[in-house]
Amino acid sequence: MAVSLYRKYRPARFLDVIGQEHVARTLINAIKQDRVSHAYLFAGPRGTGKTSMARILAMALNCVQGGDSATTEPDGTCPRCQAIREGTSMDVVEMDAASNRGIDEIRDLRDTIHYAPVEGRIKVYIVDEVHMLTPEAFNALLKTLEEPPVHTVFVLATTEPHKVPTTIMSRCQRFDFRRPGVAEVVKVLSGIAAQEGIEVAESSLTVIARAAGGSFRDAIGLLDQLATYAGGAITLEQTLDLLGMVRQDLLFEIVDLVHDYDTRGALLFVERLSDGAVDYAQFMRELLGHLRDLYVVKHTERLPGRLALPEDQEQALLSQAARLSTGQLVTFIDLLGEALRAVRQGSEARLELELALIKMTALSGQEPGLGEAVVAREAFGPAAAQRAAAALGRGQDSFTPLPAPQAVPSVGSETAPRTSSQAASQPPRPPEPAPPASVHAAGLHPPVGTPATADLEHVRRAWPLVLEAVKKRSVALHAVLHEGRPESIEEGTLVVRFPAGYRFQVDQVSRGDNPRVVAEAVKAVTGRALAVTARLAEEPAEETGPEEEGARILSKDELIRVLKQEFGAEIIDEESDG
Amino acid sequence: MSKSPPPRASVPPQTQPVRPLKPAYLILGDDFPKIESALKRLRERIIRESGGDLDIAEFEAGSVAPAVVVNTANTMSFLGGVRLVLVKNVQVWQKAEKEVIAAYLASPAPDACLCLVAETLPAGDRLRSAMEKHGEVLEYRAPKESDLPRWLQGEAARLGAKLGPREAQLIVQRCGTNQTLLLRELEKLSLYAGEEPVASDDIELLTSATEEARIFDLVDALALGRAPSAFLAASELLGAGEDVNMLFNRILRHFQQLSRVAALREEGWSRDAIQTELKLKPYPARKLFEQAALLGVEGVARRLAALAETDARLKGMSPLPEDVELQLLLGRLLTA
Repeated sequence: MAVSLYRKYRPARFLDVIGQEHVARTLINAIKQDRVSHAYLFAGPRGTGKTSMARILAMALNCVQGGDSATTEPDGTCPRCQAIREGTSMDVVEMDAASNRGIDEIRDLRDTIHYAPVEGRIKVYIVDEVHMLTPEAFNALLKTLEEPPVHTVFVLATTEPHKVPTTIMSRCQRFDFRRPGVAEVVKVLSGIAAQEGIEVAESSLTVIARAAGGSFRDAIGLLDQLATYAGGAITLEQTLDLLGMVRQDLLFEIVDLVHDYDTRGALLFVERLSDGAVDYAQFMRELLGHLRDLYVVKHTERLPGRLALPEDQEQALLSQAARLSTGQLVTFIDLLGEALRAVRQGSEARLELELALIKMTALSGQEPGLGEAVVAREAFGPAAAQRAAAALGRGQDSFTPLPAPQAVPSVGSETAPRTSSQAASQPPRPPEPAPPASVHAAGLHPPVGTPATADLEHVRRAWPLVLEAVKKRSVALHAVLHEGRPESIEEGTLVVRFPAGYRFQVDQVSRGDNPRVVAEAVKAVTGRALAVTARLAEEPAEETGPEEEGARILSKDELIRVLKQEFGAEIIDEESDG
Repeated sequence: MSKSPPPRASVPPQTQPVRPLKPAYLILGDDFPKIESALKRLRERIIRESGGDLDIAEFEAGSVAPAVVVNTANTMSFLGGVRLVLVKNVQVWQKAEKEVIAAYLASPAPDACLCLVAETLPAGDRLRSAMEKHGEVLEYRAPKESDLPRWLQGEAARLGAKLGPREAQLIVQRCGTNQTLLLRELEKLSLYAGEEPVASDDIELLTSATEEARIFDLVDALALGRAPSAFLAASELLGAGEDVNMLFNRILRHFQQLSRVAALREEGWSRDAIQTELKLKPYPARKLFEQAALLGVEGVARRLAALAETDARLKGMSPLPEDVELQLLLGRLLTA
C-alpha cells in the first residue's frame, strides 16, 4: 500500500521541523547539557509539528547512535528509530486523550510507568490532545508528573493549552508551536513536489497553503490528493476546483474594480464568475476575508505572521491596501456583511453580491464612514453622502463647515439632471469649499429662499445620520435624542418633538450646549443651518415608527419628477389608462 | 547497553543533611518551588536511609480524618525501613483534629516520618507548638511580587544562566507571579540562550504570556496607537480561545478607567492623588497617567464613542462575525 506523502515526509530530525526552530534549539541544548526535563507540554495549532517533534525527541533519547546517552542527531534508520517512526516501539507510548480521557486510562498508564524501558534508555509517553482529559484524570496524571520514574519523559500535546490546568502546566516545560506562514508552507510543498516529481505551479501551492490554514499536515495531504486527482501536472484551475476556492487574483481584481468605481466592470465580473460555476456565497466569504486582510494591513503596514505570503502577493496586498482608505474598507466590509446576512436568510447570493458591488462602486470615491453614507446617497445623492461621511468619519471635536447645501439635489429643486451612468461611473466631485462658520452661525438662519417644507423633508430623511453624528460627540445626548422626531421648521428652528411623558428627554436635549451640538450635526449632515429646539407633544400621540415618519410615499408626479431629476429619466411613451 | 537516564533539569544536588531524621516535620509557607524541593530532599533521604523503595502514604487534610493519618503512621512499614506519611493543606483542620495529631507527636512511631504541609499556621497554634517540641518546623515564604525579578535572577544564576534585571522584570510581566511556572520558563530560557545572556527577544519568542499579560499588551497597544502590536495581541488572544465579548469588555474597562484618570488629570490632580483616589497600584497608575496625558479627555471620549458603537453592533446590529467586528474596533480605536 502506498504511504501517504505526509507520513513519508514526516520530519526525522529536530531542524527538519519547519517554523519551530526555537523549540528544536532548546531541546538540542537540553540533550547536549543532559538537562532533559521529565515533562513537556507542546501547545499549538493542529499540523504544526507537535507530535513529530515528540517522536524526534523520543528517537533522540533512544537512538543507538547515542550509545549510553541521548543524541541530538538521531539517525532515523536504526531499529529503535524505525520502530518509533512506525509507531511500534515498546518504549514510546502514544495515547490519544480525546478517546482515552478517563481516570481509568490514566491509572493504567500509572500502573505500567514503573517498568523499565524494553529496548531503549527512556520510556516516552506522548499524550495527544491532553486538554480532553477529565478533571479526575488530570489529578491522577498530576500525581505521576510530580514524581515520575527517572526513566520516563512525558510529552503532552494540545491545541488548547488554556484548558490544561495550571497544576499540570507548572510541572511541564511548555513550548508554543507557531503557525507557519503561507510562504513557509509553500517552501515545504515545493520541496516535496520536487522530490516526488509532481509538476505543480507555485500559484497552486499558494492556494493549497492558504486552504490548509497553517497546517503542514493538511497542506501535504491536499497536495497528495491533488497529485492523484490531476494525474499529471497540477493546474491552478484543478486546485481551485478541488478546494472550492476562489483565485486570489480575482479578489484583487474585484477590489480594484470597486476602487475604480466601475459598476459596469464589477457587474461584468460577476457575469464572468458565473461562467466558472463559482459558488457566490463562498466568493463573498473569501472577499470578506480579503477585505479584512487589507484592513489589518492598512493599520499594521506590514503583514502579521498569520498573513505571511509569497513576496509577490505580499506586495500586491500592501499595494492594494495603500490605494484604499480605511473608511472605504470598513464600508465594503459592512456592505458585504449585510449581503452575507441576507444570503443566510435565504436571499439569492448572486443578487446580493451584485447589489453589494453596486453600492461599493457607487461609494468608492466618497471616503464614506460606516455605511451611513450609503443611506445618505440613496436619500440625497452623492454630495450628501460626502457630507455625511465627512461628519461621521472624522470623529473630531467639533463639526467643521461642510459643503454648501446648494449641491444637494432635493425633491423640488432645480438641479441639473444626471444620467444613471454618470451617477455610477463619474468620479466624485471634490467637496465644495464652505465659508467658515462660527458656533453661533451654526444655523440660526436658514438659507434664503429655501422652502421650509423641503428642508423638513431633508432633515427627516437624514435624521438617522444626524443621530449617528450626534453619537460621535455625545453618546448620552444620542440616547435621549433618538426618542424624538423632527416635527417642523419654524423660522429657522428645527422643532424636535418628543412623545408626551418624555419630559426628561426634552430637558436633556434643551440643556446647556446640547441644542448647539444637535444643530451642528444637522448642518454637517444636511447642509441646512437650523437652530434646534426640543418640544414635548401636548397629548399622547399615536406611536409613529420612524420608518413611517421618515419615508413618505411619493405621489406619481413626484416620483416621475425625482426619476427625471436623479436619473435623467425621459418619458418615452405615456401609458394610457384604457 | 547500559541505561543511564538523563539527569533532571530542576535542582542541583543539595548539601547532605547531617542531623538525624525527625519523626515529624511541619512545612509552612507559599514558596511552592522550595517546598517541593524540601519534600524531594526528604523523600530522597528516606529512600537512602531505608535502603529500598519509598513507602509513602499521601493525604489531603480536607478529605481525611487525623485518626486515619495516625493509624497509617502507626502501621509498620510493609517494605521495612521508614514510612513517609505526607499530609497536605493541614491548615483546614479544626482544633480537635489538631489535638489528635498533637497527641500522636508525644509518642510517635519509630519507623514513620509524619510530614505535614500548610500555607500558614498561627504562632500559638496547638499543632505548630507540638511540632516545635517534638519535630521540626520549616518555613518557606514566597518573595513579594516586587521581589520576584530579583528572585528570578538568583534562580538563573543557580542554573548557570545570565539574566539581567530588565529581562527578569519582563519575564514576570509576561508569565505572571506563579513561581513554579516562572522556574519552568527560566529553565527553558537558560537552555535556549546557552552561554549568551537571556535577551528580551528570547523571552518574547520562548515564553508563554499569561492571558492577563496579553490583555495588558492589547490595551496598552491600543492606547498608545501601536497598531501591529494591537492586532497581534488580539489575534493571539482569539487564537488561544478567548471570547470576543470578554475581550471587548476588558478593552472597554480600560478606556473607562482611562477616562476617569484623564478627567482627574485635567482637573490638576497629581499622579499620586489619582492613584489614591482610584485605588490603583503604582505600576498601572503610572501607565494610565501616561496614556491619559497622551490621549487627553477628548481623545479618550472619542474612543469611548467607538466602543459604544461596537457594543451596539456586537449586541445584534452587526451582520459581521464577532471577530471581524473586533478587528474593526481595533482600527477605530487606533485612529479615533
